[in-house]
Formats: sequence, structure tokens, C-alpha cells
Amino acid sequence: MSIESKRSGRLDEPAPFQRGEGSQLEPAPFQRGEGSKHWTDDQLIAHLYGVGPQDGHLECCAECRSRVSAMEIRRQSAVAESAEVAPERLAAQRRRVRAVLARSLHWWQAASLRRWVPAGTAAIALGGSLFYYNEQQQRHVRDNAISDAQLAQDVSLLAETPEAPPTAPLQALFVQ
Amino acid sequence: MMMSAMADQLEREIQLGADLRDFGSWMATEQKRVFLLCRRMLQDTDEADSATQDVFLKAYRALGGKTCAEELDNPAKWVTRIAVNTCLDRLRSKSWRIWQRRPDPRDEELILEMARGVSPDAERQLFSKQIQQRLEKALARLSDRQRAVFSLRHYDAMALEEIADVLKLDVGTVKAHLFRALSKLRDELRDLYFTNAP
Repeated sequence: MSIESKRSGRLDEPAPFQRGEGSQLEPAPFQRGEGSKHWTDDQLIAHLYGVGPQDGHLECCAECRSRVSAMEIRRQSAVAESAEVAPERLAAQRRRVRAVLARSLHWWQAASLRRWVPAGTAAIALGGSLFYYNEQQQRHVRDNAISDAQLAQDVSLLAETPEAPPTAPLQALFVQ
Repeated sequence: MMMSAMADQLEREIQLGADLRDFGSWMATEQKRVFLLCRRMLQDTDEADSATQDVFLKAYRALGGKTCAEELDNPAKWVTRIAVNTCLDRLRSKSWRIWQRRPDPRDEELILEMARGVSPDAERQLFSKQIQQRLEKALARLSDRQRAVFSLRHYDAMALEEIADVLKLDVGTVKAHLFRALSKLRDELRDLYFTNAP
């Protein structure tokens, strides 16, 4: 038994939803029965979902009001019927979520020293730099160090040099 | 010193257990609704399973981070927003669709029920279920946004303003999406509301 065959004969060709003027969304004009001003099925559906006509018809039409109420009850029961979910499926979802959370949180807690990582890295970098600088300085001093004997030899070499000292021309002016 | 560290660790473990228990009980209250929303939006049960888990993992992490207190005033709406965004992200990626095309297990279930349903009551239930399934399948004809709007309105009975808030859209845009969705689902909705069961 198909649903198609169960359609009521009175729902001939559905009137298309129409846009009203401007940005207002207005369903098609009333169509149900000549002379009667009842809302069409489409208008009732649109009203149920909050986009129906705003003409105040429901306030003065008990029949349309009761049809809307019946539709709302039908919607609620349909929603309740379609909300069947196996509890095992939901339980399995919860277990998986819990497992993922517990795993990630334990890992994070095990690495609680994490907050010290930037400071530790900075301290190591600073210590390394100081050590390197100190090494460089010591090497420089070592390379430039000369012994006493070397110093005495350098001085005697300067004293024995045959070249005139730079001040000799000036001293010569005062020598008689 | 060592004892103090161990005590801290133990305290953290206890706190973690309490947090997870609290979160687990909150999850249990929202989970079914979130799962159904994901299933309707994604049109795939297994994918909805995975999306639901994602939603709650994101929620937990957001709780640990800087979540706006205003959002947490209404946790149901907040988690709905996470769910809708998660589903829209997944629909955008679409990579999962490569292997999602396979017979729906619910079809098999329906066939089995048709075979054994004999009483008028069973026939009525079957008829109702048929309409439900047609409607849920028809949701595939909607765009992602239209599906989100229609699902929140039809299944969760949310007001248009609430839907606009969840989806961060104007009420007018929500109305336009809903209007188009209703047009596309016209036949199914007429059957749902105006066709009498046998």
C-alpha cells in the first residue's frame, strides 16, 4: 500500500507558495472552496512553521484553528515516533567520548611540566651562550699571553734598533 | 616534596574523574537530540555517530577553554550550534560521501515490518513510519542550510529567532530558507498532515 495512493482527492494540484511584495513571504491566496475564506492546506502548513500569512484569520476562524492544533499534535507525535535511537548506540558513543577524553587528559597531565618548557629552553639557551662567551674570552687571553722572557727580548730589540726615535728631530732643536 | 607531588597528582585524578562524570551526565541529556539532528543533517547514521562524538569532544574542550559565559547560560542552544556547525563542516568536506552510498539499514527494517505487519494497528504504525521515512529521505533534497533550518524547526520546535541565533543568521534569512524547504517538502508534509492512515 503506497502512500501515493492514499492522497486525498481534495488536494488537487498544490498551489505554489508565492512570494508577496517586498521581502514578505506570502503563501498562495486562499483556494479552499468558493466563497469560504478558510486557509488552504499549504497556508496551514506554512503557518505551522512560522512563515504563514499574517492576516489574523486564525483569530476569527475556529475551524482553521482546530486544524492547526491537530497538525501540531500530528507533528509532535511524528517527531516522537522518529526519535527512536537504540540506547546501546548512545551508550557506545558515550564510552568512546569518555575514552578519548580520558586518554587526552592523562597525556596532558603527564606532561604537566609542559608549562616549564619555555622557561627551561630559555635558561638552557642563556647558559649555553654564557659558556660559549666565556670560552671565547679565555681562548683570546690565552692566544695573546706572552712570557716574561719574550717581553724582555722585545724591549731589548726596540732599544737596539738603529732607526731614530720619532721624537729625535724635535730634541735636536734644543741640543747645542 | 615527593609526597606533595603525589597528593597533587591524586587530587588531579579525582578532579578529572568528577569532571568527566559531570560532563557525562550532561552529555546523556543532550546526546539523543544531538545525534538525531546530526543524522537528519548528514543523512547517514554512522556519520552521525562520528559527528555526535566530535560535537561532545568539541564541547568538552570548549568548556576547558575560554567559552563565553553568555553561551553557557543556555547549554542546549550552545551544543546545538556546535552540532550544526560540525555537520555543515562535514557536509562541506564531502569526502565521506565516497563510501556512504550503501543500502540504508532502515529500508531493510521497513521491509521486514511490512512482511509481518498484519493488524490494522500495525498497518497504521507502518503507514506513519513510511511517511516519517519519506520525510527524512526527502531532507536530502534540501540544501545544507535549509535542512538545518527545517530540522531545528520541525524536530526541535525551535522558534525562528532561536534558529537565527543558533545559525547566526537574520530571521528573514531563516524564513527564506524555511519557505524554500517547505516548498521542496510539500508532498511529504501534505501526506504527514492531511492523509489519513488506513
